[in-house]
Amino acid sequence: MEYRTTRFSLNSSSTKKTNLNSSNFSSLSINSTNSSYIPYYDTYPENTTISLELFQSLAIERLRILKTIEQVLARLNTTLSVAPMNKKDEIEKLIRKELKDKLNQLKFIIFPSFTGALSIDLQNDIISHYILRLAFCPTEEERRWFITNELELFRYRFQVLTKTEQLNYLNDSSSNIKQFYELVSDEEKKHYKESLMSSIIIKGLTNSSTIAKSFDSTTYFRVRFQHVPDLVRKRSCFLAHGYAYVSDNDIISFVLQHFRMNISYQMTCSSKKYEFIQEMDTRIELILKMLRKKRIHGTHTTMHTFNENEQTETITFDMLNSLSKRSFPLCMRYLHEQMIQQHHLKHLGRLQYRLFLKGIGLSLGECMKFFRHEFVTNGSMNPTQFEREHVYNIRHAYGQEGKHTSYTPYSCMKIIQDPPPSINEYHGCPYRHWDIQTLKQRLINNYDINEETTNEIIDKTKQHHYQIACQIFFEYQHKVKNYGIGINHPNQYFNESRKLLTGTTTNQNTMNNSMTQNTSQI
Amino acid sequence: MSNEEKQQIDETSVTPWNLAIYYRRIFPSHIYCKWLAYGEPASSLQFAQREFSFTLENDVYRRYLSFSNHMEFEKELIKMSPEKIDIGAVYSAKPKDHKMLSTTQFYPIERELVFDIDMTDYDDVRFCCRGADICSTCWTLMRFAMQIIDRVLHEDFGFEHRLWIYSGRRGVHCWVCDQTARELQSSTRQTIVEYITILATGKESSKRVTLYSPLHPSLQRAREIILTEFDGYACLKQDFLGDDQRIERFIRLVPDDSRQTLREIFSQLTTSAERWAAFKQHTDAMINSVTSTTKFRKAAYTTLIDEIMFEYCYPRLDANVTKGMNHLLKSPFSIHPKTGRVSIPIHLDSLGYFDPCKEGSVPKLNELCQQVEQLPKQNQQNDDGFNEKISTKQKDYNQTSLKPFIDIFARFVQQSQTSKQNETLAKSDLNTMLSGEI
Ligand SMILES: [Zn+2]
Repeated sequence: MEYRTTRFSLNSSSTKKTNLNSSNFSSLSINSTNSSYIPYYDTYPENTTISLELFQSLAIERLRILKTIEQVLARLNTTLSVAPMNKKDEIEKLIRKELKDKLNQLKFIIFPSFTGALSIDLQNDIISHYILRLAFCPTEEERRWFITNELELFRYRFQVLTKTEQLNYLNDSSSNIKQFYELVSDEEKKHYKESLMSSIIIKGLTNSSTIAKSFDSTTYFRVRFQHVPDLVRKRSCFLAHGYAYVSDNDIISFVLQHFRMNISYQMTCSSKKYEFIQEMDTRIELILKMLRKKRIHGTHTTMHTFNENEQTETITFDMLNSLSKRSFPLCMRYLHEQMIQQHHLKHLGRLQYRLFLKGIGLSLGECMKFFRHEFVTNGSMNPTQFEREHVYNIRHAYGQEGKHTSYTPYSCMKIIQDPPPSINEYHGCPYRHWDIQTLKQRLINNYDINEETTNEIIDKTKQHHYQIACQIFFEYQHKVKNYGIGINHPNQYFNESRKLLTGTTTNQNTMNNSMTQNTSQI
Repeated sequence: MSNEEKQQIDETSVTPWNLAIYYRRIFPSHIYCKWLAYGEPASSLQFAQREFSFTLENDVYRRYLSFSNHMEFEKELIKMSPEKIDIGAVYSAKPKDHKMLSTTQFYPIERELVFDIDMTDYDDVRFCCRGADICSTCWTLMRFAMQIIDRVLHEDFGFEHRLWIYSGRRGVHCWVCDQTARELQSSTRQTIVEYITILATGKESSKRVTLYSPLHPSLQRAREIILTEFDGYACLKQDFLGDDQRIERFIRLVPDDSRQTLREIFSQLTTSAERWAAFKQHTDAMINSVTSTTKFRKAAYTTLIDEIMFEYCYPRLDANVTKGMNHLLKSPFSIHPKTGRVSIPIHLDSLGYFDPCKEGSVPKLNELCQQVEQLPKQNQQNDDGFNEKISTKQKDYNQTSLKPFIDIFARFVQQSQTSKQNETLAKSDLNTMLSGEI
């Protein structure tokens, strides 16, 4: 098939006009020996002419990179942000192994030493980023996926840089990042010495002389506290008058937040312009559609995340009690128990549980029966109140009201990251949101998990491996060992459980090899 | 009904009649409206798109009220005479029209950063009262909370305009009114809550505070504030190691390997002060002992004393009130329907002294009404609320015991308006970055 050359011109940014012709790249401060330059992606590539063929292959390569990162992290049940140092090496190794021989134009992104970053490489980097950004800006779920994985890619690339290279990144005059931080002067650093030193978070044993020694050689940055939320939240930086003092060891938090805010802001804007671009060129639109399909196709069928079409059993609401004991992940089992005991659930609990029920194949009618049965028949809600407050919402969740969007059940990632439950709320991820003592007690007393397995689960929870903890629960519940599915969705948990219990189990080998297969597919 | 009960009802009575007098002659509407307009004109959207909620007689609860301007607000306030006023967010459209609008048209755009601290959250660490009851002893906890949080908001986060309010019953609220604070997104509000929170959610009986050495500067400051009163408060006023039950509650916070030893030591002593001193001595000994304890064991003791003080005294927040932009919070100068007390501002200089349990420290609705009714007649020319002149009204409340609190409020409102210009400059550099969120 022959592609005509198309002009890749997305005139959406009116304020900044930077031409991304190859010649313009020389004006950026690229040190050709510095092979791991990362672009800021804060200006649209305008007036860049590439062939449609290159357009497509760049996009597919970048999607392959993002999906590989997603899968590696899912397989290890971690994110780069929480992974300890030794695990980071492992992640890097795995990502490289998976992507070996699978990249052409974007090879330098993952293998910086392979070739120096030439201006053409950077152009490809930027263009591929923008194509995916365009492809994944229409819905919030797609935006979230794209940003999450672009962030992980960015983190991977930033961590590979030396300290000097990292400082160069922050110091690049072509980016607006410079407006958002100030270097802390020696004088100020001295002034705040005590406070800065006691803000370094070192859990467990402390060696104050090591801290003191490294303090002198540490560079500090002053940024608005909003720009390092993860450091502020953990109280691991010093705050004064609205500014956070961030050490060069932690500066990645700031860089990532800057990156995240830049793209999420721009993507919200582009989603509004999307329809306009759609009309511009149907061939581009076709490619974007294909990219969206590839993302979902890959994850859903081969990585054993939740696949709505996998459901075969007909489920009625009176089956929920026994199903919840045998096939629900702990988060949903707990919600179910609370629903049965309290005859009520608060808003966030209802949302999480209802969409899960929809995902396991409970029909709208059955779901309505179930909620009415608990809230009205067993509970104390009067029928008119139920009609007024709940019928619409249940229908809404099933896409029968409002914008007729069909809402997808929450993934583990969403449940883990969403606001934690407060008093009288029961949603969330038990491994993430319950305190260790409560989790331990409930596992042993309410769920009959033996002590050894409980300790295993607690261990994983303490290391923030919530999904692995969930997997251990799964394996214990189903009496299998090293099942290796990598739980990342409550509905996937359910589907896997049904497969095991009703005998339609898939070949284990296929599962374990799914990663390799999947990557070669895209 | 006993005489005592009758008397109590008289004292706290919140009657429609009293409320009508209060809103007509005492409630400081013009300062109040000036506050919520934040330097914008009286009829600005800033004010007109603000949600109010009134609780009327018989628990009739009316949400999504909004008023085009100050005149309308005052007129409706007098007409409806609510038992309680709550303030919500500023929305993208007038809240009274919300039913006609979709969620893409109607959403909160601005909200003070608010904090709600309620004494009931401390029930497992106070032995003087429970539930809705408070006394001067447990109020110490609120004084700790106000002092600690106020300094965090000011020194750590740089917020200048903090209005502390006694809720009228058993807690306090803080309204942070800086423009940057009002524009914070929900996720940032949550970040601030997490920065302040050290008590893990979970069972009341288990140890919920874990600290690391050295303490973060913000916690060091909190520790200093608690230390100024800890011995007097915990040992003398609360007598927190005074009986077996309290000792057992305490022992649960201590590592297993010391529990038995401490029980024995405590049984030979009589007062909380002696037991607390003995505990500190024991802990120091564990830290310094070279023999029996391993390094890991030792680590459990290095921060133990602080952890226990924080467990008993560090502020406990209702996180949801702070996180959600559309959460309602009881308004300053609203009446507490159960106690008849006015929600009054507390001066920043007296956060460490204010005590609502001290006789006469908080004006009550019926007292205020009596005070204005005793005023000479000429102040009341026009009984028709509509034509009532503001000047008359000012004179009225100036002669009640509410005056000092209205003065605190007026000064606060004036200050929060004057620095508006400076803030606009400071925030311009943030605008680009803060606008995006997943
Ligand atoms: Zn008390």
